[in-house]
Amino acid sequence: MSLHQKIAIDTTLLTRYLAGEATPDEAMAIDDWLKEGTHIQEFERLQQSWQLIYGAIAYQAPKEDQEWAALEAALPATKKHGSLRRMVVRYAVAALITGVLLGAGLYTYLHYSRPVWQQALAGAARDVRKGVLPDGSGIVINRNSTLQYAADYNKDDRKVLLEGEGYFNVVADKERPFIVHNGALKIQVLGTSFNVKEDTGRTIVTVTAGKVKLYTEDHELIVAAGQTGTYLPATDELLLSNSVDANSISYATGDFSFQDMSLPDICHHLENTFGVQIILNNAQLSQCRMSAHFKDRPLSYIMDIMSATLDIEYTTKDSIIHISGNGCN
Amino acid sequence: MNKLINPQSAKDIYRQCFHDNFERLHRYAFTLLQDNEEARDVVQQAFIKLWQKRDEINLELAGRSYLYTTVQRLCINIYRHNKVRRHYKDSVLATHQEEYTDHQLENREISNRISAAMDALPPKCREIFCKSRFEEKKYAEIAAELNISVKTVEVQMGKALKIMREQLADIITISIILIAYFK
Repeated sequence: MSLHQKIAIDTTLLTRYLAGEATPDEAMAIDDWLKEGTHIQEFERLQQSWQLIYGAIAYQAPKEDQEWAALEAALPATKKHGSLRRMVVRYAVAALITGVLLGAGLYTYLHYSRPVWQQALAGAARDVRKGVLPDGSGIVINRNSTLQYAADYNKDDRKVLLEGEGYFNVVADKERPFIVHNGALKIQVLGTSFNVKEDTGRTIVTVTAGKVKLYTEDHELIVAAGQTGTYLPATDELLLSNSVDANSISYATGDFSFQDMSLPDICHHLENTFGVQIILNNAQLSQCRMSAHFKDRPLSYIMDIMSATLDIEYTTKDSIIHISGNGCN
Repeated sequence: MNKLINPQSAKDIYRQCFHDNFERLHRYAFTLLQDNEEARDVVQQAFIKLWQKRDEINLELAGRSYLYTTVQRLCINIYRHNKVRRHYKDSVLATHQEEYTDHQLENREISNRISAAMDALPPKCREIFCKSRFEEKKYAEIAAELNISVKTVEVQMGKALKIMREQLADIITISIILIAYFK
């Protein structure tokens, strides 16, 4: 629109727009500008910075079809004298619409407990992926895991479907419970941090803050911070243990706490977190034990500290690490 | 030329106009109201008004301008009306400050990053940004309060957001990827 091209689009104007200060002409100029090239991405980055601040309401684009239907219904009908035929047609249409609405209502009612799922975090399944859900809740999904969310997420509740392993940092919202579906197991939260891991024949829920409720058709179990809940689908059992293994969720927290831990156990955690394979070149190495704490450190740093502490050597090739040394006695 | 031979009905042009502008108008209304639902109502109203005036206004030539102007006018009215309500909300928020802070703690990591980014702003810039973002003040109100020009507020706000964007670049990229898949 050549009319608006006189208005230069820069960060100052885009900020004005986000702050609700743009005039209709400026808004039109911005909307024209957004149609070009990568401008929309540039705008979205700015919009995100604007919305990231707490208390800010995130923009949600409405569904055009729905809005059009609502608008069409609200438009004053153009009055024309109805012939009998037209009346009959009109009633037939009305009856049909009523039927469709009833059908849709019945369908919704019947399928209420079966949400429609859609894929959440994109990206390669071989990577750990981090992200923020629309309500601000943080999620970390481990390798080879997927997370889907309900189409009506954040409406009456916040349902997600997890396969594999995921760490959740849920924003508190008493009105809309956060519910993780994992097979027959459901985990309900009001606001907390916890990890869910599907293992062979069991699901392990590690709670680091707050409190969650695990439930199936017949059982339920409350798991609080510092506790671990285990679900055994074969027997439909829910078990509680009064400890958490912080190292098992390091992929999400970046936190390792090794206390007089054997080298094979340490390697097991490192393998899990960094997606590598660690091979001990001789059996004596299994005797080595170590205490250490690492926060947000790369694998190379941890390996260097370990080799200095335990007097061992390591070589890395194609995400396979070989450890050699005389062992610790 | 085609149109002369096969003239589109007013309804078709109107439908096209809706399709071309609806989402953009909604985003514009949202910036003015900071409320998704209210923004929807406003845009619906604007389109109804346009339909009522379809004999006076050439939909293809002036429809768009009319819609943007109407949306702004309706929003300003609502904004004035809401001022009272917002005042109430502020006092409620103040009494529940504790609870509010509690919620914030849930997302400590991101929260810390945002605070750090805000700390990185020059003092003047931060003051203006906070007034706009947290006290929901209009540029003109901030200018009057601080005894500076509206232009200065504009420039400082642009600068603030630019710095925030750079400081929070990694968090933003993640959310954008997410949002693309949430659509």
